[in-house]
Amino acid sequence: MSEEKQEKHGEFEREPVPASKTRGLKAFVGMYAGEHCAGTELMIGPLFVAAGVSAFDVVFGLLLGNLLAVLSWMFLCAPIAVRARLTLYYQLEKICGRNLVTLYNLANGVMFCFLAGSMITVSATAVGVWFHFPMPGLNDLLPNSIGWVLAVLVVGGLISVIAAWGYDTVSRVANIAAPWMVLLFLAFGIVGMRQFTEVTGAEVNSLSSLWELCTTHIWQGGDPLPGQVKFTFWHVTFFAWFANMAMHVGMSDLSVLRFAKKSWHGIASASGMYVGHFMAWLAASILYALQLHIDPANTDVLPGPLAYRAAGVAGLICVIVAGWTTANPTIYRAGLAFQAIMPNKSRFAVTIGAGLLATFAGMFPAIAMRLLGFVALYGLILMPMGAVVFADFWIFPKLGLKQYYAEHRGLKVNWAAGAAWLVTLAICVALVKSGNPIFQLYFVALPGWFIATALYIVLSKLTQKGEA
Amino acid sequence: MKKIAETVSYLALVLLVAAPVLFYSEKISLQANKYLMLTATMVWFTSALCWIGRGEKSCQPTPKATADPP
Repeated sequence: MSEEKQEKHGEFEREPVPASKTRGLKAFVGMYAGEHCAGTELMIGPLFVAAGVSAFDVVFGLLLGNLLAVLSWMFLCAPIAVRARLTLYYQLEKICGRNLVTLYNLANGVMFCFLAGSMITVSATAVGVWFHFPMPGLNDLLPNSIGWVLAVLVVGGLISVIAAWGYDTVSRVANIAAPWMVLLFLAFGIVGMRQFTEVTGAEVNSLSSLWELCTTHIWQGGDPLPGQVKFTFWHVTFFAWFANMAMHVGMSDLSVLRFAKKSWHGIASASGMYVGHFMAWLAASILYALQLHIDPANTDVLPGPLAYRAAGVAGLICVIVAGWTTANPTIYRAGLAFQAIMPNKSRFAVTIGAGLLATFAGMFPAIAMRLLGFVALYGLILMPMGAVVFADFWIFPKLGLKQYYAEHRGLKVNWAAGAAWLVTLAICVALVKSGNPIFQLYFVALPGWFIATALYIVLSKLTQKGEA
Repeated sequence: MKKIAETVSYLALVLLVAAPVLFYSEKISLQANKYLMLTATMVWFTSALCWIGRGEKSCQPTPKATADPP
């Protein structure tokens, strides 16, 4: 048996995970904390400041949004994961049919490539500190120098080759880097705070004086920077909730949590949310707010220079490692998704192809500089399939509808699921285009989930008519 | 040997946090803070290589593939 087949067999890709292979809470706490302390956190925090958030909105919005994300993992994803103990792919194949899953994989793979591209962008900003080439500004959409293009090419090329050679080495480096990286993000925050007290002359000796500094200098609120969307409390809340929508509401983490002993182990996601999506976002935003305070004309969101000013070479290493360790598995996953579409191509070739696409995307700062919108879009595109899995698992038995309909009928495409996915996306796009503020890209996934669930149930009632 | 490497690693992490805290409390300069953080980084990666992930399975069950191919 080839190594690859053994690996697949060991991962129970087409069978439920047996009880003997399940793992305790601790394994998931470490995994989530490492996974969500990534290179992109260094972009998202500053972009909040660029979006004109106030201290109350960002702190309490993140507390609430991250809580909602953890609850989504605990009560939407984990209960199905520990009952079915199947990968998302296999569960979707049983529900939707092979061809529809292929389309899902294509969408997923492309989104992964763009996401990895933004991570490569982050790493390349550290290279710019050493080589002093012009780097993109906040509103740049296209690459603005040969040096930038070369830096992205070198960083992206290296990441792609390593991702294609094997996941294990990268996984080990990521495991080693995770605790160091978390503490370095914390260090960014502490150093940034100290620098703020220096440049403002503020005295911080109590919680109230700290809050005063936060409200008057760091997250002042007011108008966003030109070209940015104004973020309120609800924007921050929904962004934090839906930043990983593909993973919890979209059910991608069925593949991970199927190894959990209990469904409440989904609470482990709190480590990732409150370390990566609270502490790291706030720390990174402090560094950017400091840059704006010192020079209001310098609106560039460049993690490399930001980290270098706070932590020197260690900060630059953090930016490179943070981008690299998260871009690598993302490219690897994109390769897996594409390989499902082209099963005759080797995983090496497909992963290199995915890496090249990610590298090309990384050259365009538009994705990284518009990361808040891209992350919301990414979750939105994959969310309806999570709603389909949810309805199929919990609601169908109660309505007397057939679960796993594609498997039951031997279908290549379950049109009810396909239409629920695509029609939901069309409706959500129309709602966003309507210009109504309550249907902005950051919020529309919430009504979208209910639309997808309702559509899948109604369409399944029609397609399964007379079969009960 | 593994125990020593583990202890050194944890000390490096303590230094990584202690340096910015010392800078915050005005005990050291920003430059000194940067040197200490770089030292802690090098010590962490050198020592952690000796014990993290050696002879044990990754805590991550799969490469977190959203849609693994069959």
